Amino acid sequence: MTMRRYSNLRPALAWGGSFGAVVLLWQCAALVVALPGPLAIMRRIGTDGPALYWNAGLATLRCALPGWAGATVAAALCALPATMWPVLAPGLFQLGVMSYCLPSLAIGPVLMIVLDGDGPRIMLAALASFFTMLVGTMTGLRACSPSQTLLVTAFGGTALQALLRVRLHAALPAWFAALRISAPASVLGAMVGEFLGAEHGLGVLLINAQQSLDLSRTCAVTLVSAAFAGVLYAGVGIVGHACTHWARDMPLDLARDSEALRAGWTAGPNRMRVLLHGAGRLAGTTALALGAWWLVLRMSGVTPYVGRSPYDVLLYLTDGAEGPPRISAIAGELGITLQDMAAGLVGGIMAGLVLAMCSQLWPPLHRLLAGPVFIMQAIPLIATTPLLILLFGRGEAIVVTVGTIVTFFPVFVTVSQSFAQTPRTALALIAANGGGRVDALRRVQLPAALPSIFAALRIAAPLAMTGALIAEWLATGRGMGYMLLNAVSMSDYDGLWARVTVTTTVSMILYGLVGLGEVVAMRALTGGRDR
Amino acid sequence: MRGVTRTFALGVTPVVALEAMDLDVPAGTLVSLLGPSGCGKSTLLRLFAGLDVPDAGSILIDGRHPGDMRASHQIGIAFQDASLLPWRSVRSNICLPLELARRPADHHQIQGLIDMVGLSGFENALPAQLSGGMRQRVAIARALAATPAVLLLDEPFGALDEVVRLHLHLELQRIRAARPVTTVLVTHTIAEAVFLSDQVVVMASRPGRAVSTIAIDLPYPRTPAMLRSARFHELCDRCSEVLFANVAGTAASAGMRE
Repeated sequence: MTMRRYSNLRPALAWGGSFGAVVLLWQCAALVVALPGPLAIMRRIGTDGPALYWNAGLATLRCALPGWAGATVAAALCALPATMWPVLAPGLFQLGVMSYCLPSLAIGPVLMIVLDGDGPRIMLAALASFFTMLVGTMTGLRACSPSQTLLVTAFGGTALQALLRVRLHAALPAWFAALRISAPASVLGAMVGEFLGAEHGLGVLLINAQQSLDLSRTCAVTLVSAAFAGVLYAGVGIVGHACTHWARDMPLDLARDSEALRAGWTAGPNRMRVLLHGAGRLAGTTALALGAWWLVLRMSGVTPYVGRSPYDVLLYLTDGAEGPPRISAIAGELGITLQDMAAGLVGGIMAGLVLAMCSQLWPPLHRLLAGPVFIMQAIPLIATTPLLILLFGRGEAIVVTVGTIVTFFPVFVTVSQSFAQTPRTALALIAANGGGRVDALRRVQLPAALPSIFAALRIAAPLAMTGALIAEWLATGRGMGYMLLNAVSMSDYDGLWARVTVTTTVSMILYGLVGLGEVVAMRALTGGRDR
Repeated sequence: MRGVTRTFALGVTPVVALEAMDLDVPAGTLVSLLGPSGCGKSTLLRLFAGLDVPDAGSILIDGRHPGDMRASHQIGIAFQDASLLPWRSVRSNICLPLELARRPADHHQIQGLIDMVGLSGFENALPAQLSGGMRQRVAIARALAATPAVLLLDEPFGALDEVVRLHLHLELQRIRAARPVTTVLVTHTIAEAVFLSDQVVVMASRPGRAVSTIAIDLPYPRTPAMLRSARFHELCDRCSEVLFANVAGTAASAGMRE
């Protein structure tokens, strides 16, 4: 029992220790470079009056919390039928993937057209957390072993009793883990909504501070938003641990677990069936997207001048009356955005891989990184973009930095986990044959981590897209992100809807392409056999 | 049970898991189903438990269908993995069948079960805090909690080491001496089948069927010393002779079939 109590205490200690270390490091860094340290920020919050930040935080939570709760309920409503009737699972999962691929900056302006009040921000918060909740709930509902439910049946229990007494209870750890991960995501969703235009909230405060080049206030707001998200994260963590004390951990790795879910229903090695599945998914997604578009326009009752239909967008894109069709200009903007995104993705993958490999070769580094990585998990990373702009300027560097930070986290975590799961016998085999750690890494661990890299890439790609769009809008002033928001300010509704359509479509295609790359890589690695 | 057949479709080719199998289990005795992997012994157990329905033939337990028995909470079952619910304590895991039957849990009865499987003092421990052998004891106690008419054990000692296994064999014998419940034990260990059973049914695969029934006439109570007796080895040899004759090739198994 003492062991258990000790292990309950450890996360708290790790939290405190790494938090202290980061604060100290930051204060030291502040002495060297032009970055306000924690003390300066505290002073700034004091002079501004804490009420300013507190009220802004509450305003953000007013949008984030309903969105978060809504996403949780919606995810449960999708996951339950998907578990009861597995036929429905791929379709419902695809719904989650679609929501995840919607770049919040692109979809935000459209939501502001069709919804009023806090609606757009609540919706963005919900969209930001829905996929995580869906993966967590579905993973959780599959967590119990078949023999556990079989047992209930054999003892004369009903299907309902099996669901209530075994399945739902076994789902709790993964569910709480998803709830915890999606807490910062919902805050981020609400803040992106506030970037786009709101009266109150941390996002508003942050953008205003950044645009008036007020570095210390930008720092302060970033810190406060991290604190709000962190408190939510920690709160859910504490409640979750109390409710699931029987489980060792609340493990959920969005990248790995969403791949595991997908692997559960993909049709074996039969190429024809894989193709058919893919085609079905494509058709379903397109139909669903167009249907949702039409429905939203009908339900919201906006005028056709503001709410453009898919047909209007098609006409706008292919209209060649004033020189070449507009689609070529938009493709040019898209090209810039894709370059920006690729730069960030490559940077993040390199940084994640190199650090994961280094910490594998030199274990103390792993312990050193554990703290900051843990803190990063609780922070809405994209919301730090305004601060990064003030620190890194408006050049190309900022785009790469945002993309790298967003991509680094899933890559590092997933690859490290894959390294940690290497069978000890495989490592022993290398060692017995006189190989060193580098050999083990090169011959066993890296090839085995390939699926994890792809899985992390899938999760990171939509985030990197949103990051690139925000950086373009706020910093570089070119590419899709800038033109999209430019269309909003020019009241060019055709241009807006067209760009949102293109961005969203490309984001989904990219997600699919990474999946295709994964299949090809796995084929090359395993010679077409099952993993 | 009479002429029980169960066929599964594996891709396009149907696989006959069990073919026209007859089996009698006298009340109060322990019958072992011994056979190689894939001979349908677990399928048979699932049929007994009413978790699956035969394509042909019938199974009657005390003159009732397994589905009825299951619905009236008359079946006790334990699997190779103990399948305890990790969030429930030992006591709460054992109470599960009573809860499912919506019967009140009698504190003394549950404590009696815990004492019987030798887990006094661990009533409030969680499964993660128990050893593999202790978890299996909880699983067996749980199978007995609702005082079932039949006890079905699907390789419950399969994952345990030799020492713990023998210990649990003696426990099971002691439990059954105190409460003689009709038991079907699925196993692939010859010595285990001989040591515990009144009858050993040797099964063969493709299609799954019973090839021979061997009565075990070792006296009760059976002791570890008996494991070294000539009679024990003679019975083991007979079981392995039948078992391996049917594994070696289809020609041999065709000869043995009656």
